[in-house]
Amino acid sequence: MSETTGTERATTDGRADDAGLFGDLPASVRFEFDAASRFARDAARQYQMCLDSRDSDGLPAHRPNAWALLFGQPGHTELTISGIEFVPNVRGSDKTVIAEFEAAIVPRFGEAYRNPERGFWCDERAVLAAIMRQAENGLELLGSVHSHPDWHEVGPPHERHLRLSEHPTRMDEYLFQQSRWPVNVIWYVSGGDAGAIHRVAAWRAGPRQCERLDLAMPAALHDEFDMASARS
Amino acid sequence: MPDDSHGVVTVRLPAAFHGLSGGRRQLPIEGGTVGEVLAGLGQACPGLLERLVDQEGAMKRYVNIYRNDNDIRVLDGLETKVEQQDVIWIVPAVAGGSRPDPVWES
Repeated sequence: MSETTGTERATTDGRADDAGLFGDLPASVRFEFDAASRFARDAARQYQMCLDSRDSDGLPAHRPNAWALLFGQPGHTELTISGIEFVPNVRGSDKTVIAEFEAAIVPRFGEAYRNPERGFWCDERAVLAAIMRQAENGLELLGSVHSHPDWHEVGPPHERHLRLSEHPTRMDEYLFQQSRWPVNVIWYVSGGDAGAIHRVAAWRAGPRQCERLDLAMPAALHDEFDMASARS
Repeated sequence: MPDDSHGVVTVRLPAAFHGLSGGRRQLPIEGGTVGEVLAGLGQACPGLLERLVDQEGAMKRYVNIYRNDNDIRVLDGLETKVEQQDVIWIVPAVAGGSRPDPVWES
């Protein structure tokens, strides 16, 4: 149950408490409604675009891919996410990012990552501009959120033996470890034609693998979206 | 005689380095180039320099350094000169991936 009025606390396992990486930063994250609902709408829109793009064989032409920067403030007991910014993805257009994938990502994680639709990399100048803009509101960049679809249901038939979830992929873990942002949210969308169900979890790098953070989502989000708790 | 080639700049640090900076988000550091500023930053915050440059002294790809709003990669890299009251922004990359893995058991 919630420690905060009007808020559902979704997860509690595996507290990330490695002081060496994150000092005294809390291992609890709370989304404010506007930030959460703006991302949920974008993730649901992307998911629906994927469903609508399927051909008669079930092959989707659109790969759902939502991502955003998370801005907020660290408190004594939790990190509050009160702003998000959508920035361009330069995964397939920035030559240095493409080179990084060729040099470091493909050898570690496989040929599939040559596909520029795999993964995202935020435009770095846009990130700086967002940081400067949000600093005027007293907010700082705390990390990012990106969506995972239920690819085993809506992906191309030849990829349906693989699954995504609200857990990080190995590639997510690698990138979270490299960048060390304290909040990395994965927003899993499933449900297919019956309607999008949202399952959300927050992570940060740990000494060996990513560690799950306590995540609190606003209860009012249930009025607008089908929110499933990541864990009971 | 004062050294005009050095100035005090403000280094803005991200939450990603919270543990290494002792929670500080900005520090005044003296130096004539970005490289000198980072060396000073490394002295003020042990362990932080290793997050920014590799063993050969080259910038790591997962971190971006800006002199004001200019990426130093398109200036002179770590040799980029700095002036009094410049702001040096350090911003790690924001990235992720979504290729399906074999399912996590939960």
